[in-house]
Amino acid sequence: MGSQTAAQIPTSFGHELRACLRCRLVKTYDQFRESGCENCPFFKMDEDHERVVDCTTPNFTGLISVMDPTRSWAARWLRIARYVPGCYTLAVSEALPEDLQNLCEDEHIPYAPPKRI
Amino acid sequence: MPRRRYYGDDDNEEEEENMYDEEEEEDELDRGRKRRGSNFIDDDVAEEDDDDYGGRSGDRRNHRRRTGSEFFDLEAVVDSDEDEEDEDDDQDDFIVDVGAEIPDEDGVRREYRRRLLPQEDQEEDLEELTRSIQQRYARSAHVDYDEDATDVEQQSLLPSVRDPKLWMVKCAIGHERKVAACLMQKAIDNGPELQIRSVVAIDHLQNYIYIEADKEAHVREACKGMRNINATNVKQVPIKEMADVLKVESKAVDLARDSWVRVKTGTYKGDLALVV
Repeated sequence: MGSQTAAQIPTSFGHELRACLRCRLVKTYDQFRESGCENCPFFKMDEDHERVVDCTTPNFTGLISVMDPTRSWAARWLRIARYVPGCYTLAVSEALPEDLQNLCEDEHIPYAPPKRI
Repeated sequence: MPRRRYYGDDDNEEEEENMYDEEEEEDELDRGRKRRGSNFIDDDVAEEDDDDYGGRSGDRRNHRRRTGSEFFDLEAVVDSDEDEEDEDDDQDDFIVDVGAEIPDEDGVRREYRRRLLPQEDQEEDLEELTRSIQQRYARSAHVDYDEDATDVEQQSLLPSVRDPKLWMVKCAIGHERKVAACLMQKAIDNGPELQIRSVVAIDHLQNYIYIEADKEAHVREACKGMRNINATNVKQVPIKEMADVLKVESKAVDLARDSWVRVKTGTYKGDLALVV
């Protein structure tokens, strides 16, 4: 594992599991509400609980635990190599709501909407 | 030639041995027992003979090599300038490895070039080539893996032989995600000792998870002491199929109005429904 501190690891695997719509980090709803997203602190999910619902989705496919993002081919392929180690999803099907996309733009944070196949 | 000297020595030794042997033969008449006692000398002679055979075959090899080099000389005569340039580069690399200083290297290169390539413009070509290569590499260093995922860029991320491999590991049905998360926790607790890079749990693939690591041993080590995972049978995913493992069918299926669907989970599980 790299020198980075890892994100929280999901504590349960039921329907409360959610994925961040920008970085695809997977945690439980409660974890997002309490400490936000490690990669996207500007969403301030821990301050505004409504944000958790807006910024995350329970609809995602596949799970990948990335131990060493900088040296993992899978992380590079999925374009999550720059994020902290943690559990991510392979894909989310929804895009970030428009107002939050604008927020990203204002903060100069790159956002790539999911590709439709 | 060290080889030649070696065989020369051999011959001398053999002569010495032979002399010794003759002495022994003189003694043999009255001291047959001792002759048997000094068997090792006979052995030595035998070995020398072997060596001699080896030497002869070596000579034959030398001869063959000589004919080979003649062949290459012929090749060099008819060879194109480009190939010669390649050869030149190789030579330069070799000199750098040896540790020659840069001005020396330049001097050698120029001298070498004067001998091989009379055209002066070749040197400029090489400089131009060097510049273009440097530019290309400088550009590739700025490639942003995270942003603007076009298909062409995605192709450039395809795995190569130098990348870590994906290993398919059997795991208890229904525990795929949990195992992936547990291995993540283990990686956090153990630090860099755990040499796996990532663990993938695919939704539509039950009973298996993929572990990304350089070596199978790292996979086995990581799975040691883990529940719900059986690392006795680890299969490597062919490099060409690695990208397919991570390919996800988009969940956003375009549901047309008036099409029939089956509810898969929840209260109405199993019911047939009409999209309205």
